[in-house]
Parts: sequence; structure tokens; C-alpha cells
Amino acid sequence: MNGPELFAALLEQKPVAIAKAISTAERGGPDSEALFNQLFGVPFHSQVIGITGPPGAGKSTLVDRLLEQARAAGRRVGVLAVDPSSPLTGGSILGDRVRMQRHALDPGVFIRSLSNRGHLGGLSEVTYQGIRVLEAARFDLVLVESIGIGQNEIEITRMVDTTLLVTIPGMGDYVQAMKAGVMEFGDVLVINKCDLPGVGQVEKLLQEIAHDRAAPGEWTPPVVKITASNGDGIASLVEALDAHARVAADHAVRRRYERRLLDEMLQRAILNRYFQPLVQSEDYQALARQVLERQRPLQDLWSLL
Amino acid sequence: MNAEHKPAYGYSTQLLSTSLEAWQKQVWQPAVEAQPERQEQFLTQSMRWDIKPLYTPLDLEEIGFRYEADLGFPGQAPYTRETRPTGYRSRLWAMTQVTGFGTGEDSAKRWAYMLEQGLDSLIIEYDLPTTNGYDSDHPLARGEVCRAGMALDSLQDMEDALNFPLDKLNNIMSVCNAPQPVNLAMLIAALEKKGKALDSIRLMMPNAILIEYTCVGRYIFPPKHGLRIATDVIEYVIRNHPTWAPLSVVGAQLYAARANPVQEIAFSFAIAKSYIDALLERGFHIDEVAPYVRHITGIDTDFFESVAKLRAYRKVWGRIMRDQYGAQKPESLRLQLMSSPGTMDMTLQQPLNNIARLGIQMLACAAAGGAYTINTPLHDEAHALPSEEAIAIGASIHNIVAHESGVADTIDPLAGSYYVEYLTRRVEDAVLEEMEKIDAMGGALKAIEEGYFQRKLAEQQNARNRAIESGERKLVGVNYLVKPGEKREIEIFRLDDSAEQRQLERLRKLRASRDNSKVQRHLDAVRAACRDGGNLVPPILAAVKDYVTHGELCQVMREEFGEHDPNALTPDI
Amino acid sequence: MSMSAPIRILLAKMGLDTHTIGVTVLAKGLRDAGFEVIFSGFKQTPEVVAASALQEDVDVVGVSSLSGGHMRYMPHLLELMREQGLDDTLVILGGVIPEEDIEALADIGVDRVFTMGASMDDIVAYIRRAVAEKRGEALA
Repeated sequence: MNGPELFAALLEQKPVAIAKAISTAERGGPDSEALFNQLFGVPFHSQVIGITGPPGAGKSTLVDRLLEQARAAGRRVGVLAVDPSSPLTGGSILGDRVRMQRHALDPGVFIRSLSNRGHLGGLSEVTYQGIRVLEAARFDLVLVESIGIGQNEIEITRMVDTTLLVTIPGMGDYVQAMKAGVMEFGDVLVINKCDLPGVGQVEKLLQEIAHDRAAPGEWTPPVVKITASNGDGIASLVEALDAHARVAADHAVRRRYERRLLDEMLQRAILNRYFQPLVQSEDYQALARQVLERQRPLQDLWSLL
Repeated sequence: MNAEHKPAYGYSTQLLSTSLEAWQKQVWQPAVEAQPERQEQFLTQSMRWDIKPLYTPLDLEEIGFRYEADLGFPGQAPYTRETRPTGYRSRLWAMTQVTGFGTGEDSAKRWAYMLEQGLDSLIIEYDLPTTNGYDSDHPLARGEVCRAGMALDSLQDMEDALNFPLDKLNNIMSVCNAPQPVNLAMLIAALEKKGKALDSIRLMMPNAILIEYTCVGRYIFPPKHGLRIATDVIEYVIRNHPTWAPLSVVGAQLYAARANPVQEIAFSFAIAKSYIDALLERGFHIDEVAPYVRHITGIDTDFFESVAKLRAYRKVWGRIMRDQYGAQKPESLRLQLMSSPGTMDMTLQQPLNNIARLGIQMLACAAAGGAYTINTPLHDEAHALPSEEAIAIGASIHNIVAHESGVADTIDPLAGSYYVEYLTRRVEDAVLEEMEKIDAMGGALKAIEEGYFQRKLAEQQNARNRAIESGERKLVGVNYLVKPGEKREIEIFRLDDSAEQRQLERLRKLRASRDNSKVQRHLDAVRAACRDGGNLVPPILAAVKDYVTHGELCQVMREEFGEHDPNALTPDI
Repeated sequence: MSMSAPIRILLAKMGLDTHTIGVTVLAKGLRDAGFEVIFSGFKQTPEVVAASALQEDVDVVGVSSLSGGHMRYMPHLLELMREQGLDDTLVILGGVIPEEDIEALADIGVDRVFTMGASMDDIVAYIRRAVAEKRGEALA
């Protein structure tokens, strides 16, 4: 399938087109750029929720439950499950899908595993594209699951409408780090595995954070207690997510992200169009040499512009 | 070290130490320079412990070895020399073999043959639908019926399977794990129908569900329900058929999943403690329960490591029973062990080599003693279901070791070997340390729920694979002395494909011909027992007699207890 | 790191066989070789495996079979994959596979069978070669 064909098939919600489109984004290059341009025209259809948190918090099981709820309500759901790859080998084991496989045959669900392939900046770009692909295929809900450590994962929280932070009892240190201002995200704060001891402690910490962050009149992140493995509390979680969806109906966060993207693209274009040729030109080389030899003053450099 | 101190073996440590040093400098050093050792390092096969060129009384000094404290005498604490006072001189080990496949009828034919060959015990294994709690006509069962073992849909199948002269049969081992209460009920009902007095036969059931959560994965319900069900079976048997064996902790399965000897023993014992604690909670006393706990161990080809493992196994068990539970009866303190040679290292390549391996493994079992039963392994097991020739060779290995080698003619002949005693103690210490770790986690059930055992096994699997692929660990025929261009024939013992069809037909006829009005009442009674915590065996036994099927009973339990998702236990690799 | 896109492989176990050793070791080995390994799960049906292969747009589907049930589900899997337009996806099978089944498996579209004892190096080398060929690339 070529570019326009792929895009058309994507709009028709064909699963093989969705899969190929995401792969195109992963590969990068001119095909990916062309796709990016086409995708940009797609309006914001979907409610996009990012689910993040440390390993072991049970995010995949939670996503499985959210899938269940969404399907019961007749909503089509796309899932991106992001896992880091080994910086040494570039390889990865993408094990989130396994916990959602009961939805594998549901035509209203699409699940895709992604890895950052060792590219430090690459992950968030691919994830953004992935979200847009799913949006073009008109999924009502897009869930992006990732591990909440490091700069990459924070990037992801900037390209979604709602960020769900998942912790479990006993995660005091992690939550304390959040409190110290290391991480400022989280529209809905979830405590999973509430059948374990120590719930109260984490709850208190999270409530303090939520309180600190909220300005008057603004959204105060609720703290929701669940046990994803048996489904306890999921209904309340869905309510909280719906409430935030209403607040985020203007997709302000995503619009901000796209604005930043445009600025970055402009910067890159300027670099390519103007900086590169200039810095490689003989005029600049000669002038730079003379300035460095103290034969000409520094200010003479600006005559080039 | 005090030069006046004279240890039991009569050497002065100071003098010996000096002599050893002198030997090392003047004799060994020049010799090894002239002819270097074959390898840079010699390591035991499983533990990868360093092996020195020479072991002396000084090594025993180092571990503080004392005869009475470390060895004692056969049949008495610490049991290191043997659990039974007369060892194999009075009675050799029992020889058993795995069989059971196809329909009940097919199994009966094979078993009749084996009894004719002189074996008096049978092991029955079941097909995957059965061990997973499905009837043969369940969608997931398609293609798997009658393959990995016998299909057991209803009492009818068990009646067919036991359709041969039962008078020569003394022992039956039935390996069914997850749906054990159903399996037990079918055996009881079938034996009764055949007129075989239940106390004239010994029924052994591994009933070893907890290990299934760590490897192989033949479980149905979540771990804590699995434990409850297993405990119901044990309780029922203790109260109603006290001569039977309702629990075997199958360490051999852990070993096959690449646990090393220390892990096999430590994990097995931790798991045994979970069962024991569950029974104690039901009001039993330790001496009523401990005698029922049996262990099955895996053996590989490292002769001394295996010997040390077997000796440490019984030494540690005795200690735990006495020190942690206050057990007093000898039957509680004496480890009951079945050995399973051929658990590992059976190669696909040059399968006849496996006969040599099995000989060594069997020799280790016989020399170390302690195993009441030794399973007969088959040299072509890596690639085939049992063939009659393999069975015959397996039986011969038993007999040659027993009657030609002499190792079974005195008790614990390797005791006192400096290397063996050093290694035995080393295994013992490592096991106790690992068990403390598991206790600190809250015990085996907790460790299973948190995936601890699974993670450790995954680490071992990767390490072993790497060691073999790199050649660091030699397996003859696989990565060492490989025969180039060797044609490797695998035969899946081609089961008569009609077996599945025949089974389905039988099941269909059964469903049509039984009294279906009784089925629901029985299922309700089982459901009630699931909920109110009553022992599951009686209502299941009643149901089975009216030909309620295996799958129907398991389905009720599934609904009540939930299913344990194998994907939930995928170790985070 | 190679300039070409990483190789994506879906590992699956079908039927009631839940032996974990094979897939555990394999997954790690493939990851160390730089592949992206997606684990489909245990007790999967061919339908789920095919659907997952499509969504994940993998280069290879790897099936592990240790209890002899391969002749039942492999034909079904290959048929489903063909129906869904996944002809280009490589299919490899590993485990306890008798010699006499290998031809039949090749006939239904299995690209390569690895019997017990195949080394990780062999498996990785084969996958690299086969995927490069399929993509029309030179081997890195």
C-alpha cells in the first residue's frame, strides 16, 4: 500500500492499515514524514488517556479492565503499550499485551506494543504518531500505557488529554519523589492492589500532592483506590476519568503539545535550510578562521546574516 | 589449631596441614606444571561450585565435622547415613515406571504387560484436557485428547483402565494435581466396583499443586484455592485410608525446570511446610501429618553432587521436623523419598548414551541410599513416549545396579569420604539459608504469589542454556564430542489417532445413557461445599458414582474459585 | 546498531501446553540479539495468534510446541494468517517435532522448524537472514 492508499484504508478503520501505519511511524524516513503530514489534518476525535507508573503497579491489568468497561459501553478502544528497550542491544521484551489478550479478537479493540528502540528522543515522537493513527481510525478511546520513569515517559503525559498515575501500597519512596516536585503530572491518582497492606499511607501522601498542586478553581486530582485483579473500584475510576474528560474537552494539553511540535519543526527546518548551508559555506569557514586568529573582531561574524 | 587435639580420624591437624603444604609445593606444583590440568576450573554440574584437586581431613576440620553430630547411625537423627536402619540390605527400592496413555482400554493393555514384566507399581498420567479440568469434548481439548496421558472423563474410563487382574498390583500412583479430588473419587469408586479391597492397595497421589504454579503449569484455580483443595484431599485420605499417600512434593519437577539441588530442596521443603501448616490449622498434630509427606527428587549425572544432595535432603528434613515442628515419631522425622533419575541431561543426540547416564544416576541413588522407590527412566524419553524396548532396558539398569554393582550391599558406603562429607554439608548449609529467605517472605504460598520461585527458575534456565551453548558445561553428543551429520530421529509415539474419536464416542454415549436427573443435585452439593468450606471429596465421590463427568465437576469449582490465568504468572523477564 | 528497523517477533504457545522454559529462554536470547519480542501468551488459539500478529505487524511468528500438538493448530494458524493477508510474515516452529512432520509443515507454509537442541545462534542467524531477504535488504 502506498501513502495515500494507506491513509484511506486507515480512515476506513482497516486493522491491517492501522498496523502498517504505526510501523511506518516507527521506521521514520520520508514515508513517515508524509504520513505525519496527512495525520496532522485529522481533528481531535478521541479521548486520549495516558497510564503511567512504576513497574509492578499493575498497569496492564488496569488497562485490561478499562478495556472491559469501555467495550461494555460500546466504545472502540485503541491501546499503545510502550516498553523500554535495552540500551545495549536495542532489543526488548514487550510483555504488556499478554495481560490484555482476551480482547485480541474483539474488532472494536486494537492493541499495539511499542518500544523506544534505544532512541532517546524517538519514543515520544512515535507514540504521538501512534495516537494520531488511532485517532484517524476513529477510536473513541486511546489508552497509552508506559512506565513512569525518566524524561521519555514524562513527554508522553504531555501528549494525552488525561494522565492516570498508578501506584501501589508500599511505594512510599516513589510517591515521596513525586512530592519533591520531580514529577508534576497526574490528573487522576490511582492506588492499585488495595488488597495489600499500607493503603492508607500512600493515600495520604497522594492526597497531599493533589492538594499542593491544585490552584483554586482548577481540577484537583482525585485519589482512587482499586484492585484491578478483581475489578474493585473500577467503576469509580471510570467516573473520575469521565469527569476529567469533561474538563479536558478542549484538548488544551494536546494543543499545547502540537504547538510545541510546530515550533520544533520550524526550528529544525531553519536549521536545515539556513544553518547547515551557512556553517558549511566557504565564507563562514574563512571568516571563522580569521576571527579565531584574532585577525578580525568577533562582531564581523554577524555580517554573514 | 591446637596441636594436641586429636580428631576422631587420628591425625593431628597441625602436622597434616604442614604435610599437605609440603606435598602441594614439592609434588603437586611441579607435576601440574609439567602436565597442566584439563580445565582452568572444575565445577560441579548444577551448583557450579569449585572442585579442588584434593580433599583431606582438613576440609572436614574446616566445617567442624563430627561423626555423631553430622552422621550418626542409620535410622536415627540426623539420618544422614540412612533413614531406615537396614538400608537396602533388607529391601531394595521399589521400581516404578510411567505409563498411561490413550483411552482407559489402551492403558489397561499396557499395564497388564508391565505387571507381567515384574513391576508391581504403576504410575498413571493423564492427558492435558484432564489435568486442566476439561472433558474430551471441550473445545480447548481438541487434538490433545489421549495424547500426554490417559483421558479421564468419567468413572467409566477408570473402570476400563482397571480392567485387568488386580491381584498382582500393589501400588498405583496417579498424577493429576489440579483436579485431584475428582481423580481420587474416580479411583476409589472404580476400585470398589472392581471388588478390590481399598486397604489391599496403596494409592499414591502427588497432589502437588503448589509446584505447578512455579513450573509446567498444570493448575486450574488460584494458588490459595489450589492449596485448600489439596488439603481437602490429604485430610480425607488421612481419616479414611490411612495407608495411602496423598501428598508428594515433586521436587523433580523443579529440577526439570532447572532448579539446582539447593533450590530443589529448599523450595520443596518450603512448599511442604505450606501443606503441613494448612493441615495443622485443621486440628491435626504434626506427628499425624508429617509421615504423609513424601518427596520426589530429580537426579542428574554429576555423581557426587547427587550423592551429597540425597544425603543432605534427609538430614535437613529431620532437622526441620524436629526443630521447627517438634515432631517426635520416627515416621515424621525420616524423609520419604522417591528418586527420579533421567530428569535432566537426557540428550536427543546419541540417545543410547543416555543408558550410560542413567546407569550413573541410578548408581548414585543406590550408593547414597534413602530412596524407597526409584522411578525407571527411559533412554529415549527426550523424544518419544515409552517403547517396550526402553522399558526393558530401564528395568535392567535397576537390576544391574542392585545385583551386580555392590553399592546397595552396605549402608551409606560413601560416608567418611572427605569430598562427599564436605559437599553434603555445603548443600545442607545453603538449603537452610535459602529456606530462611523464603520464611522471611512469608512462606511458599506468598513466594508463589509474588513470583519468586518462577523468577529464580527463569534465571536458572537462562544460565544453563548459556553455559551449554558456550560450551562451559559439557554435554556429550550435544556440545562435546558431537557426531557430525548425526541424523536425529524423533518419534512422537504415534498414538492411534482414532483414540480421540473413540473417547469422544464413549463420552457421548455416557452422557446419553446416564441418569441426567441426578447430575444437577450433585453439582449443587459440590458448589455448597466450595462455599461453606466443607471437605470437597465426599460430595465429589457421590457425584462420580452417578457418572457426573470430570469436566462438569471442575467447571463448578472454576465458577466458585475462579481460574488462575497462566499469563498472570509470566515472570517479568 | 543496525540501520535497518529492528526485527519484531511474536512468540506464542498454543494448546494446553504450558511449559515455560522454552519461551523464557528464547525471549531473552532474542532480546539480547536486538529483536523486539512480543509475547502472545499461553493457551492461545490460532485466532488470537493471527490477530496479534496482524496488529503488531511482526516480521516473524515463533511458535513453541512441546507436547506434540503442532499438527493440529499449525495448519489452522497458517490458514488464518493467509486469510488476513499475512503471507509475508515468517512462521517458525520450535520444540518436539518429529522428522516426518517437517515436510508436511513446510507444505502448509511453515518457513522453518527448529527441533530440540537448536542453538540460539542458529535461530537468530536464520531469522536475521530470512527477514533481510524478505525486506530486500543486505544483511547488516
